[in-house]
Formats: sequence, C-alpha cells, structure tokens
Amino acid sequence: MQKIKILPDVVANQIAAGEVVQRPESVIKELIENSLDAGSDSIFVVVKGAGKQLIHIVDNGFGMSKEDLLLSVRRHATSKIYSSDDLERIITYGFRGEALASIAAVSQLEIRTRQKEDEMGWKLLSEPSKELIIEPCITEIGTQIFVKNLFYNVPARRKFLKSNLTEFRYISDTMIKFALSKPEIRFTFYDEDTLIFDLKPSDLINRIKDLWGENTSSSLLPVYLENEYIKINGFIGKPHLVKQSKSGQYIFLNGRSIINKSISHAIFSAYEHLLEKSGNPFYIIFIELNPESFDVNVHPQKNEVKFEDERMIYGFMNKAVSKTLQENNLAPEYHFINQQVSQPFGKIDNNQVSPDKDYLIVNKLTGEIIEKTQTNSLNSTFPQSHYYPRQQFNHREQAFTSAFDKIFGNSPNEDKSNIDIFKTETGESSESSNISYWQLHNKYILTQTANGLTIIDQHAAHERILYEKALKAMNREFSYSQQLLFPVTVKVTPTEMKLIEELKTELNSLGFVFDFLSVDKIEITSVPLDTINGEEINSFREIIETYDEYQKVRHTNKRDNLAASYSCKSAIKTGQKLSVEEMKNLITELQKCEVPYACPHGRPIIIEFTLDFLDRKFGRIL
Amino acid sequence: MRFSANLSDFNKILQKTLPAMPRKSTIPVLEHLNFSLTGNRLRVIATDQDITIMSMMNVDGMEDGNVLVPGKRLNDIVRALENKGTFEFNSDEENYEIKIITSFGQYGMKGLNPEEYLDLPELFQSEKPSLDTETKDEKDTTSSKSAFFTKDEIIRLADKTYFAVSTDEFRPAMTGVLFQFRETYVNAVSTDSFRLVKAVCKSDKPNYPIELNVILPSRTIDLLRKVDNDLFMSFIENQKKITHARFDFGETILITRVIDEKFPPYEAVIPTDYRMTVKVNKSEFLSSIRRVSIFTSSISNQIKLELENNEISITGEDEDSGSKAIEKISCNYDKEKYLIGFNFKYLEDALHNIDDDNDEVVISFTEQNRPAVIKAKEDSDDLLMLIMPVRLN
Ligand SMILES: Nc1ncnc2c1ncn2[C@@H]1O[C@H](COP(=O)(O)OP(=O)(O)OP(=O)(O)O)[C@@H](O)[C@H]1O
Ligand SMILES: [Mg+2]
Repeated sequence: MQKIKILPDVVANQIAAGEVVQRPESVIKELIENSLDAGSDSIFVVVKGAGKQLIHIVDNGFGMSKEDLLLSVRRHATSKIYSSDDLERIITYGFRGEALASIAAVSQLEIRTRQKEDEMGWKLLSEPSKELIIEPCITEIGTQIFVKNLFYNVPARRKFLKSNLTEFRYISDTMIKFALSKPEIRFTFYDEDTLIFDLKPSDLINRIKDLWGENTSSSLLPVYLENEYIKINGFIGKPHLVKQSKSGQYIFLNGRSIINKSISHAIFSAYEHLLEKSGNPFYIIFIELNPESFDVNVHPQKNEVKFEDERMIYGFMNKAVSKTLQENNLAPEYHFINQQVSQPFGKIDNNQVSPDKDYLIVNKLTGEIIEKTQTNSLNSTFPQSHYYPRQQFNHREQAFTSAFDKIFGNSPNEDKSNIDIFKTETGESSESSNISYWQLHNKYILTQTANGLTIIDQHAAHERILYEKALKAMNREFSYSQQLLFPVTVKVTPTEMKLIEELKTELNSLGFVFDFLSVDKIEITSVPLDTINGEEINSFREIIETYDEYQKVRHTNKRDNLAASYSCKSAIKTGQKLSVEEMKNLITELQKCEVPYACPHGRPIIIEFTLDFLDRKFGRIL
Repeated sequence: MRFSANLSDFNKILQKTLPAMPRKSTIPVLEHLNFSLTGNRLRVIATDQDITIMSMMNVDGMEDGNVLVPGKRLNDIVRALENKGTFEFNSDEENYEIKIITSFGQYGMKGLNPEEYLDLPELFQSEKPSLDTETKDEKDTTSSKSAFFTKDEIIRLADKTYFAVSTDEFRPAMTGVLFQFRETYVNAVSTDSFRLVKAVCKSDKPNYPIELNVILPSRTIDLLRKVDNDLFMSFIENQKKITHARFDFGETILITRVIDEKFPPYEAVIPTDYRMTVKVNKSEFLSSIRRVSIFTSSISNQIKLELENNEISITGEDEDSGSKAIEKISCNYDKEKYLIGFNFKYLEDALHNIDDDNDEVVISFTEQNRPAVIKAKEDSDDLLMLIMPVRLN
C-alpha cells in the first residue's frame, strides 16, 4: 500500500521537476541559491560533462539537522516561509520548497550536511522510486550536494538537452551572475579538473575586473539613482565596450538576476545616440525595490518578474543611465590641450618575482600589479587563482584558454577594437608646441600624442561637435542665425512639408528661419551661423530627408533625431581637405564635447596607437 | 624647334601661363604647356578648359616648331636654375624628345605631339586685332563690346570683390563677380548672400559697353588681381550669347569662360532709407573687434553692437564657456538705443577692404533684418559693402 502512495508523488515530482529543473544550469542555480540562503560565504562548484554527469556543490553554510535533511527532498518542504502571507515579501531565494524535491525526482542525489553545533554530519542518498537512505557521516560544516546523471530516468528530457558546449555556457553564465550579485562571496568553479575561476571576496568593481579583466573594469561608469521607491546602482560600459551579442548585460532585482525586455530597452535607448542599432551596451545594474511592488512567481525559474508600475521603472532606469552618460566625459583622460596622452601602465622586467614570465605590468598611478594575462593574444581573460600560487596551474594554460572559449564561444580576438586608448592619464606636461597635424586621404587627422599616434575621423568628429551644439541650441530655444540677403526658395514634397511644419520650432532654433510660400515651397531667410560652408541650403533638404529616415529606425525623440540628421549633413565631409588651422580647431572643439569619442551613430571618433603597441608590432619588444 | 633664351625672361612667361595649367588632370595633355616658335616669337599656351592663357616672348629662334612640354618638370628645372644666364631649348619634330642645355649640363624629357592638344581655334579667332590693339584709341575698331582698364583699375575691382564671392555650388551665379558695364562706369559686385560688395570704376568718357552684364568666375578674378599691365577686355560670343571673356594685357591673353547665370537682383537689397548713419575710426573699430572677438564662441562668431550716447558698445560672449567682453568706442549717435548683431568676421573683412589711407568708415543701419551699409566715405559710392545682421532673440 505504501508503494501505491509513493508512486503518484514521484510522478507529481517529475512533472514539477520539468518546470523547476530544465537543464543542468537550473540545478546549479537552485543549489547555489540554497547555499546562499544557508548563509554560506564560500561556494565551490564542479561540473562534469556540462553537469549532465555530475554537479557537485560545496558550501560552508549552516547545514541541516537530520530531520530537516529528510524533509528537504519532500515537496513543499521549506524552512523559508510558513504562510502565504510570507509569499508577499520574499527575501530569501527559496520559498517554494520544490527545488530539492524536483532534483531528487530526476537524478541520483547525495546530500552531506553538518551543522556547526554537531560533531557528526548526515548523509542522504536518494534515487527516484527508491527508499531514501540516511546515515551519519564525517563531513565539514556546511552542505555538499552531488547530483549525478541528471534526467537518466527521463530519457525524453535528457534528449532535450543541448550540446555540452551550450549547456556549459548556460552554467557559466549563471555562475557569472551569482559572482556579480554576491561579490562578497567566494566562488570557485571547476570544469572537471580545469579551474574556470576562483574569485576571492571583493567588491563589485574588482569582481568585474577579476571576471573580465582591467580592460573592461576600467571602461565602466558608475550608475546611481534613487528615490523613495526604487534604487538603481551598478555600472554601465562606455560605448566602446559594445558587443554584437547580449552577453554583457546583467540586471539584478533585489539581488536576483532577472530578464526584462522593458528595462533592457530603457538602458539601450539611453545609449541610443552613442551606439549602432545592432550594438549591445555592457551593463551590470542592480535594482532595489520593495518586494511588494513586483511578482517573481510568474515563472518557475524565477528570472522573470512582473512590476506593478513598469512605466515608472522604465523611465527611472532610462534616466539613471542617461544621467551617467551625460555626466561623464567619456574620454576623460585625453588631454587635448597639452596634447598629452599617456598610459598609466608601465612595465617592469622581473625575472625573479615569477619565473614564468619575463615582466610585470604595473599601474603607475596605483602601484597595483596587473598580471600579464594577455598571453595567447587574449585581450581579456579570467584571472589566475587568488588562492593558489600561480605556478600550480601552469600546466592548465591550454585548458584555461579553451575554457575561456567555451564560456564566450567566440574568438578571443573579437574585442580587438577595444584597444584601451581612453584609459589614459596626463604624463609630465611638456611644452610640445609644434605638434604636427596630418591629414590622411582627406579623411583622417593624424597627430602625435605623448604616447603614440592618434587618429581622428574628421567627419565623425565634426558631426559630434555639431550634434552637441544642435541639441544645446534646441534646448536653448533661441538661435544664432545668419540672415540672408537673398532668400532661397526650396521646393519640397508633401511629406517633407509635413515634417517641416512639425519641426518648425526646432529648425528655427537650429538657425533655419523660413516662410511657407505655398503648399510645396518654402523660402529660407536665415541659416545657422555655425556651419556656413556654402552648403546650408542643400543641407536643409538633406536634413529633412535624413530626419525622415532616422525617424523610422531610431527611437529617440524629435530633437535628438533632428540634431543627428543636422550634424550628419552639415559636418565636414570625408574627402574635404583641411588646413592645419582647421584640424587644430576641430580637435579643440572636439575636446569641448561631452562625448568626444563616438559620433551620434556610435562609430568611434578617436583611435590611438600607443608606442608600446607599435613597438610590439615592429618586434622591438615581445 | 630650337631656340635660346634668357632664363629670367623665360621664367616670367612660365609664371604667367602656369596658373591655367591643371596640376592633375584626367586629360594628360593639359598637364603640358603648348610651345610654338615662329621666327623669334615663342608662344606658350596653357588651359584647364575654363581658363586659357596664351603668352608670347622674344627668343633667339633657330628652328621653328611646335611641342607640348611637361609643365611641372619644366617649371621645376627652371626654378632650380635660379633665373641665371641663358639656356637652349631643343626638341625634335619626330619623337618630341626635349633637351634643355645650360652651362651646368643637359636635361632631357619626353614631350608630346602638339596635334594631341585641345582645339582652341574659336577662342583665338580674334587674336590678331586685339593683340595689336594695345591702346584704347584703337578699341573702336573691334567691337563696341569691349572695355579698357588700367592696371590699377582692374586690380582694384578684382581685389575689392574677391573675398565676398560665394563657394556655394548650388547658387552658381554667386560663385563669380558680376561686371556691370554702364557706358561711363563699371560695377563689380560679389556676394555670398551674407554680405555683398560693390566696387565702382568710373570714366569721364563713355568708355564702356552701354549695357552689359557678365559674371566672371572667382578664379579669373584671382588672376586679375595679379595682372602686370593695363588691360583690354573683350568678349567671345556664340549665337549672340557671351560665352567667354578675353583679357589682353602686355603680351598675354587670358580667356575665361563666363558664368551663364542670373545674378541675384542685388540693387533691390541695398537700403536707401537709412535710419542712422555713424562715422567711426576704422583702425580703432577694427582693434576693438579683434579684442572682443576673442571672447565670442568660436563657432557662432557673433558680436553685438549697441549704439547709444555717442558710443558704440561692442560685446562678445560665449555662453558655453562663460567668457564675455565689452568695449566702447565713440561715434556720432545720440538717438534712442539701437542694438544689432553681426558675425564679426564679416565686419572685419569689410573694414579690411577699405583702403589703408582711409581712416574713417561710414556705417548706415536700417532695421535688424536688413543689411548694414559700410562705405569708405559718406558721399562716395566707389566702394559699398552690405552685411546682413545675425538674428537676435
Ligand atoms: N545548502 C543548504 N544548506 C542548508 N539547508 C538547505 C540547503 N539546501 C536546502 N536546504 C534546506 O532544504 C529546504 C528545501 O530546499 P528547496 O530548495 O527544495 O526549497 P526552498 O529553497 O525552500 O524553496 P525553492 O523551491 O523555492 O528553492 C530549504 O528550505 C532548506 O531548509
Ligand atoms: Mg531552494
């Protein structure tokens, strides 16, 4: 009779497991959440066969008593909430009492656990459709869980799993999310015997550095905005950290990683004028919100949420990110005036300190030693262990690289464009008055900087200057406008006429003053003062045309659109010859811009080649 | 062909003709100078198809002939020879191998067959009469559509108008200088729509075509600023339409395409109903503008003039950087306060355009959306400039 009673339970658990446990990654997520709920500050994860063969998790949390251990694998057995009222304000990750039961239903599960006050621990062995086995055992304080042969009893589910590579990528993504949301916790992550990372307790920015390297962490801008309902903080990447995939985007709601299209869009649209349409900005954003104002229980994996007031969140997020982008001079250390650009990084030859490399990179400002991780031409990589002497892992160099590949699934050179030129600082200022300016193919301006060579895209630079001026002009609501002795009549199409009517105020504040002559004719009597280049009238037409196009693809407001089309059409063209004076002037004006390094379409304006880079290319240093 | 010549004279003819030779051309023969020798007369022609220059000089002719000479290389070697002594020029009529022989040595280059050069016959049809016609008395023998300018007159008209020519290719009429011949005077007018210049040249006799308008391209005007001789101007017509203007001066003929467009009706925008006219010291005013302009936005270039109590306050401001400057200079104005804004560059250009020996400038204003008029002297129309103000909000 007992058997009959148990069977439906097993079936019920299997069904529930289909929702909670979809893949090895979900097991890891549930188990780490349990470990965090148990107050652990160090969590160790090993996977074998992308978690299909084995998932092994070790924590140093408060463990379980024998009774709790037995209960833990039963459905709706949870120590975390007692009534449905509690559901309204969830502060732990777990609340359903479903995870372990679900896992137990689809794998061979072993839990070893010991509470601080106990001398001995307990070991529980669970297999679907079999009696639980519980026995005392010798184990550390905390809990260890082994999940073997996931879905071995549900072949349909097992077939549904993706390749090891893909499953591994899901797992590492989840690991990164935990690592980010809990920088104060040590996370150690192995793929079989290959160490993927061992992250020491730290703060967020250093955790980011540990995960992605200095290149990334030094290209971030802090975000912070708060009111009585909501608090947003975290970091956003400067536009050059843009990726073609969404892999560098993390949103946490009260510490829980979530996916939310609306919030992502709010962030993206704040970047709009800095990025290409297809670009994905890098961000790690934490939202804190009263648990009563959203619902996490809409999806079994808990990574989707429903907000009571989604529009408020959208607006607030957009504001927070816009504020940061505006406040930050995004190419802060490029000192145009002194013509000085220099890297704070220096190199010291050091054979003694560590025999496996011939030099160390030192941040001359902070004195911090940056390990030479850029071996194998990787631009960024996971850092070496902070717990073990570096040498111990030497033989893993190869595996290490491939683990990197596995995680990001892309060529390590993908971020090559990310030459860290903005990470610069003033060197000793020297009176370098006779800096030369070269124009390359009437397209790029080349100039010497303290540390090498800077190349500036003349059109993009001027576009940026005009774009910012235009936005300013429109916000000022009055214009600098040069009146014409001979007004110009322009014939326009009905659509253009509609646009012109709609944009009249904005066009006026840019400096275009005109009268409507007839249904298809306007007469321009005044043109912007700041772009007198003999093509104002032609520009006017083109601005209207471009505006019309932008309107279809950009999602920003009218002014931003108009500013972008205005600047694109009025800027110095590629192919235009510039005098030295003009080049100088352009660079001075560019320096005054708030965002001097990306044009309104997100293309870079400035690229620097350091002497160091050139020396390497020429084989002067290796 | 074969001749020998004095290097410094030869250099002069090169410098006269080279401005019409394009540095780079899709038609390679145009990068050559067209040489022909008849007796002791060497004729050199260069053209970029818009402007054609032909110049003549006397040489010691030894063998008549015709050849196209690579212009840049020839110019380079002549420069390097530093205008000293004489040289011999030599080319064979079969392979057009050119040799230049000097006391230093021999230089050879490949010329081209002159047959390959562009056909320019219609341009030089009237070559003989006008070349011989170097004085104004004989001009009546050609056509009534011609004019004589002294060197100073033509240089003045060109100099005064050149700077205000527009670069807007979409308004081609404004990319040249309008010459209006009115029997006893000529107006030269240029405008880029932001400002306008009119320079007048008068004669006591009916010396000019009675009623004729022609627009000369700005490059031609630039060349006319450098002529070294009195000049005779005539026109080449095709089906009653003027297609080219021709300038004969010294031993040189310059033929230029004219811009076949309608010049904007500029007379209509010159105000006559001045609200006020002030006189200021030109150099004082210029210096003030120069100092104040340092504090304007380098992009808007805007300065404001405020007239009140026999003073002009000149202010410049850059809101973005928070810089600001104000200066006052005296003037003869004591009516109600008047405020107007300008792009200071245009004011500077206009003031610079007034002759150095003229230390006063007369400025007349009407309304804020109509041009200010700047003249050298109150009672003279020799030089008149308009500047359109900036809109003030
Ligand atoms: N690593 C651990 N350390 C200590 N106790 C644990 C650990 N893992 C699980 N438990 C205990 O087992 C119970 C059941 O865990 P389970 O994950 O199934 O449910 P839950 O976390 O309460 O809710 P959820 O289903 O939402 O995760 C927990 O409530 C907790 O008391
Ligand atoms: Mg749980």
